[in-house]
Amino acid sequence: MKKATPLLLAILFWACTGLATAQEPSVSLSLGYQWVTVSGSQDTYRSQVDEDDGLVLDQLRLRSTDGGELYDTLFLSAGGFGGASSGRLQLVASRRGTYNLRFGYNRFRRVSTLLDFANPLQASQVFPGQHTGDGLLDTFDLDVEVFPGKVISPLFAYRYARERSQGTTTIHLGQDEFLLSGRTFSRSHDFQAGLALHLGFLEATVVQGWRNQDGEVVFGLFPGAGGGNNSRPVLDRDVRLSSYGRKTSLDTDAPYTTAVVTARPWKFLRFSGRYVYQDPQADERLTEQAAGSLVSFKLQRFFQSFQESALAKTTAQNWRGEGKVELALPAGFALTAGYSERHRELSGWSLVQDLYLGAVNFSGERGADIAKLLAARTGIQREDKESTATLTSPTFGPVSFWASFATTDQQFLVAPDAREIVVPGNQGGRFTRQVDRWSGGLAFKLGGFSLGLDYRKDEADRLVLRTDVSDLQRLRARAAFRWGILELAATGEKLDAENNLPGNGYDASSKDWSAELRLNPWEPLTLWGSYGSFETDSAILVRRPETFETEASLYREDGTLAEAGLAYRRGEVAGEAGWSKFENQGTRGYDFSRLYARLELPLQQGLGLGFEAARSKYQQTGFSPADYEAKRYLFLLRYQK
Amino acid sequence: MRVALAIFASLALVALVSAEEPFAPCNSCHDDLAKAFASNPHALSAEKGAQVCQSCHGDGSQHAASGDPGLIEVPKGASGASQCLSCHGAGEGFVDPQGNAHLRAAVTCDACHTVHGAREHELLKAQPEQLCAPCHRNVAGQFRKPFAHKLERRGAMECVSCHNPHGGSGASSLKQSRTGETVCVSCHVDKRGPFAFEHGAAAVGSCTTCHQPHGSGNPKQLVRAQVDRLCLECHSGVGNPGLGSQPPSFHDLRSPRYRNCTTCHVAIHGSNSSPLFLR
Repeated sequence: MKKATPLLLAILFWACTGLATAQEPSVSLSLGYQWVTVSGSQDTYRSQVDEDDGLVLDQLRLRSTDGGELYDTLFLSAGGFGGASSGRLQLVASRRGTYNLRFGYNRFRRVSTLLDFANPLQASQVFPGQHTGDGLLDTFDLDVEVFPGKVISPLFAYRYARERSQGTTTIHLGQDEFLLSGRTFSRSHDFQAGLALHLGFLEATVVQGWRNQDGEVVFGLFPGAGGGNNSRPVLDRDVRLSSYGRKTSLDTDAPYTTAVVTARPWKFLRFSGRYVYQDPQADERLTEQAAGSLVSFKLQRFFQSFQESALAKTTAQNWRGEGKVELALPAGFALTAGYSERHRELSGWSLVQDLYLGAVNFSGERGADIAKLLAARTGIQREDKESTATLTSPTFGPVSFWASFATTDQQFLVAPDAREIVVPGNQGGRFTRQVDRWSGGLAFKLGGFSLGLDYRKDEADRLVLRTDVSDLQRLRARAAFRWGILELAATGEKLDAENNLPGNGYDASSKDWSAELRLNPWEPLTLWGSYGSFETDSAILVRRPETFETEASLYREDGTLAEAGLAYRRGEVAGEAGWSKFENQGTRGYDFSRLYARLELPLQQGLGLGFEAARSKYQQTGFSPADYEAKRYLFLLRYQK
Repeated sequence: MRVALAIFASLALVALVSAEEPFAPCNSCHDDLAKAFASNPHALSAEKGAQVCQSCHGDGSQHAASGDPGLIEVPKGASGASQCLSCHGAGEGFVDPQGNAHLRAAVTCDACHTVHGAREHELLKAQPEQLCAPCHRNVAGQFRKPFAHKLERRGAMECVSCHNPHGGSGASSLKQSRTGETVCVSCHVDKRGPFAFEHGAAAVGSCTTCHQPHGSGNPKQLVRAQVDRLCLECHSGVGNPGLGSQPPSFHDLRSPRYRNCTTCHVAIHGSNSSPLFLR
């Protein structure tokens, strides 16, 4: 951030300098203060919506041309900072023949305080669950092309991402789980430099990039959590922790090279190719100390303290290459043939040293301290090769169509370390899979009516994961009709997927459709309403670990989404109101409704007022502690020139 | 009379061209368009002395002479797209004329862009999500679910954060990260790895093996509502098992501790110190 802030300020200063000389930039600014009230579960609200009291930059838009020597065009937009959960700033500027510049800054607040997910203490009404996070992710992007349109133009880019978070997690140690609290920090710098070649019939770019990522994770025992999740004694002893600390430091270097070429040697032939090579290397150090009264069935010991140190190094060299030829055929037909190949080779090495101190055996005999050393080597190799061919028709009157075939060969070689294997089987080996895909589509357009259909069928010879499908069929349809003041649009999709190998029994289907009606009875006024239905069912056989019995894992979503609204704009006066309700009667049922209204009124000389009110209401079927109702009011001062 | 008018219009056109007026003679009738177009990227990027209107509308002398709207070329639909692609059809980030799903479905450039009078950047008719939603209504609906990437009006994300509407190289026109990886890791940098012990679901599948990218009714945008169901669907040594081990029998699913797998297997995306993803 220390490096990125001057960059942000420099860019804004530069933009302002240009604005001083620019002719009548158009500006629109909307800034205000919002109040949020939540009744019910604050935790669920923060995990889903997460708006807060405070100043809000609703919208800033600035467009300027003729910025003297600095730019020909400049566009700045920003919104969402302050009480909103995410914000964005974008700046795009260019000067003909001199440069093109894009700058972006995004901020995301990421909160997770879930009540009923991965919460082993839910039955005891302990909320939220033990895995929580409250973090901020900031990303900066800068792309500059110098001398655009010249035969050779240099390219520069920089991306910075930083995430800071605090929260809670758990550690499984000594036959119990303990709640931890701590913080995580990670940041990534990514520099690029390259050249673009513009020859008209040939366009190419070659870029060399360097990415560095580092981070630190620090956790300690949550105050009062030494008793663990399991309150019952283990072998007549209370398992508990008196202290715990863990620190992890990570450093990753990843140089990469990207080359893109597009050539059109003749009017009827176009070739494009892309190649990316990356060679990341990650180094991690971990230290962990724990003290208390602990048990290990594996060592058949009680022990009083535990120390772990780990050193890991991982490389994951990978490349991806693809080429495509587009050929214009007689009578307006076109044929596209493409081939892509992707290769990734992960090689992991980890040295983990565990020390169990104060160990006694289960009969109470004091024994020697135990040291365990794990030097693990793992490897995963993945190769994907895909060939495609697509034939596209010209328009025959109102109709056009296309048909495509693709075949993908996948190969995976998974070499786990012996230490990873608890129950032998299915953790390593060579896996191959071939997927053939046929697809086709049709488009019809006549006057105000348009219709699009597309169909896809996948066939695979075998699976790699149990949820991979052997047969998939998907049909999609879209239709739109416009007649005078009326617009009607509808979409629908039906998908069937299965992998009915003996003992697997995977079968999934989904159907959804939605339709929207939009009316524009008077130029300033638009009314709309939409209704949609979705239905998803999936089933697969699973084996319960404790009994080895087989049962079906079922998942269902079955619901509707209804929306309606109106918008009015006449001169400087604008208003908008909308309502939506999502209902799901599936495995995790809920009702989620939203209601909002917004009004913009002029005052004088470009100044105006705005008001926004919104209500979100969430009700989870059979679990009322997660329900909430949130109301948000926002007052805005608006300026427009 | 018509011939005389045509000759007059042609002479006027030549005279105006020599005067290096970029919008002449069109601005004599379409002055409002010409004024607005002066700040348009097309006008700003035109070579000095070029006739800006003619580069897309062709020779307008007959139209100028008669005023007949049928005598001027107005690029739209498929033929209009061809005209756009003559400049915008080559190079990184531009349209694949044939590989583009939108063009194949007869959704041409003018469906989203307007050359004259665009209020949005990139000459868009409206903000990206407002343009995508009318055709992708079912996807737009997924963003209304309780756990979703936020596409609010002020939000930091929009459809084009992940998708390239002009035709990305991957499935669903997905963008790639700068390093050629899935676009997800551009923001979720901590999940990027590489890890010495990598979760097989990510290594041989993708993020969407477990997560729904647009939105979900399930926390963490997962594809299943219960953690143990999600994990067991791969980790069951029954039938044709594939990659994914059977959990040992002490994982008694009658106990909530074991129904919530990530209570212990916290580093489920990958770990550098724990082969079982315990830290």
